[in-house]
Amino acid sequence: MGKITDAILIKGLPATDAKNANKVNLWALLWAGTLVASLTMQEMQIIHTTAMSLAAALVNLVMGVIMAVSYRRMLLTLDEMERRIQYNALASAVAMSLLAYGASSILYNAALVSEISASQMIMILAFTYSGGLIVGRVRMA
Amino acid sequence: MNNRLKALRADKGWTQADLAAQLDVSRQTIIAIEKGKFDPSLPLAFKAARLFELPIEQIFSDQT
Repeated sequence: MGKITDAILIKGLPATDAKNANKVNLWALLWAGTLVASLTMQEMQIIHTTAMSLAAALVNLVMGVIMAVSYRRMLLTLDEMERRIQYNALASAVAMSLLAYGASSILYNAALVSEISASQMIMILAFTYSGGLIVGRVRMA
Repeated sequence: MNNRLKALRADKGWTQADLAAQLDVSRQTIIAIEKGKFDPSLPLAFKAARLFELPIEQIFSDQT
């Protein structure tokens, strides 16, 4: 149990790496926040013109690009074992998302499940990535 | 890959944290290398060799 807690809390990560990780988390939150806010405002008809939708998409895109750049920067400066754990978790997340999309598409065509949404895909990515990080850290501990 | 990092570190009287600081990696990385769970990159292996003033093959060796 201690190993899992340490893995979640990234115990022992150098201060610089932890600071960079927090920056990525902040931008990820802002990206997710602008995505949810934009979609909600569209549903509530607060965003109702093409120009407003374009502006909302642009704001979300800018947040996403900054998040991606800060994540790349974090990976490049990260402790080498943690970097390998991150790469493995990313690979697992991409693989799981592709497999889930493929399988659900077949089941959707057979009218067995509803179509997989973008938010469900993001959730699959996020959960597999987080799980991969924890498993990787526990395995190395 | 086998390594003598733990023995060499003990000879110097360094803690895992000391060695981690000198090699500019986390203590978790040192723990994983010593346990044989993680193979270091070539630059890190060379850094360790320079630190212990030993040829790289006297610290790290193939498992076979």
